[in-house]
Amino acid sequence: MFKIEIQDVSKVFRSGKAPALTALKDIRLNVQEGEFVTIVGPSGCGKSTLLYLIAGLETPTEGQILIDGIRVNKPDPKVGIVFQEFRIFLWRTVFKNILFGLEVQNKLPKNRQIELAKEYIEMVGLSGFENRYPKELSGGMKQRVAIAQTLICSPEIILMDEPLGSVDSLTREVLQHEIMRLWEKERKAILFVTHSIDEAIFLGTRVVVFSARPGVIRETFDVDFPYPRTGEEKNDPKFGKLRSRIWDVIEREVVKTR
Amino acid sequence: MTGRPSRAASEEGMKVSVRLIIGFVKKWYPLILLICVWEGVSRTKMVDPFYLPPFTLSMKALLEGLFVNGDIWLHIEMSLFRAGAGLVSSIVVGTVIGLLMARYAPVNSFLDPLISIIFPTPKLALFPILIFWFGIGQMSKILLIAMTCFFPVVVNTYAGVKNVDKYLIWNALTKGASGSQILRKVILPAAMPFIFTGIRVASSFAFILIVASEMIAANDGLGFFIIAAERTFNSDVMFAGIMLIGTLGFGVDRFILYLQKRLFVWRDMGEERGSGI
Repeated sequence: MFKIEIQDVSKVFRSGKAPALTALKDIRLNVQEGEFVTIVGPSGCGKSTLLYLIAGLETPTEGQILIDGIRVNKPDPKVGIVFQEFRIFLWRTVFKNILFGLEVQNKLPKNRQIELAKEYIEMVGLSGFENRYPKELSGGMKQRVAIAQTLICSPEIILMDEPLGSVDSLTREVLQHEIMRLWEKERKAILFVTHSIDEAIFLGTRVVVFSARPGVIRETFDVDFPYPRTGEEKNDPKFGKLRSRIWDVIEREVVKTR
Repeated sequence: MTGRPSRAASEEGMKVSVRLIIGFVKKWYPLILLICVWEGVSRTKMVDPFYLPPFTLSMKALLEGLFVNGDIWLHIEMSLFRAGAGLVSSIVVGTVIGLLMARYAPVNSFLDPLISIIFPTPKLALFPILIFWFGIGQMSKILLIAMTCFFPVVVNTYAGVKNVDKYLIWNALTKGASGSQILRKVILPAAMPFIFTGIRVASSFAFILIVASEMIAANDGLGFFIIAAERTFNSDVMFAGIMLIGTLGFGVDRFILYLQKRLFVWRDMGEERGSGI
């Protein structure tokens, strides 16, 4: 059985007099446990919408999404999501931000919650910043908070919506390696939306290329570099070949939107 | 030897206090200048002291009222009680209604036209009706203040709640937060800076109205105190009352600003520049 089954899902947005907007059309995608699927495509192709549908934050207009064979109809902490541009709580310190999920679920004793929060702070390298507010942090640090905030709920599926889109390129590379390491340790199913083809190939077991609006899956590429990946792969001619094949598909789409 | 450090420290202390005084003068010299001009024109009889008693005499009347006769305290107490009761009830009702309006469209479509019509109407015009219905006791004044202060609170709460980033609510939802947890842990804290802006405006309204309503119909309170002094031609007492209410209003505003600074340390101060008065 697949972990996530996306069955002929379409999403149409209607609001007022504006013409209906088809964000996704006939999406069919299955994700197995332990897969790292990366999604690339032109801006506004409904990649984010797909993640919101899987997270149960929006409902498909047509089709359905199954997780462990059960139809998604509302958010569930077992599906974690990291939003674009680090949507963390500005009035909470780093510590209280990371604690948030455990605090609201309140399934563990208080001292265990605090212990875990400290563990995750250390894991994302924010020790010493526990009592800082987000306004005092750099973009990369805020993104680490957002990632830890999601991971601490130990989701079975992790959805990431351009998590590295707004951090500088050095931090980006560091965080890519960190995300890779985290995934290798726990082998959870990850769906990772990005604008960067290199990032998609470097991280993914499979790269899914979306078309311009309405978003349809254009093509899927398997990436067979073995893990752990070090970054050396980027110099491999196979990497370059794959990159240009993906780029060809995307270029056609980008041109279409002009 | 032993005397030295303490002397150095006291010198240091003096330097600090001198710097504080200089800072104070630098900031408030227009006020000091105004007081000097006031004192001067009255003392030199350029303006008849009967109409404008010197600052020092008014100050003396104020200090006497406070510490010799002590009769002002009752008036302060009454005014603060009425203003406080009206303000607090407006904050409670205004926050709840603002929240409901922002979260439930039918509530909004029902209340929005009413609010946009009543908000600009000076509520003081309704005071005669309130007196007619509730007498000149506490109730009419508290209601007048509550009705007026309700509007800035409700409008700002509405704006604050509407302004909450959808993704923050989504973030909380995907981490298993319940509806009431989202309200308490996301919506309210995110909207709180807006609500506080409303409270600050409301408190200035409360001070205006307490004086006005007590001048119109009351047997006590600072508004009554000022108007009574005017009627008996005690102009120094009248000015004493005015200075007192001014100082109280200023103090309350400063207190709210202080609370804002303490409560919202997490905010990027960039957005608040320009409102620091």
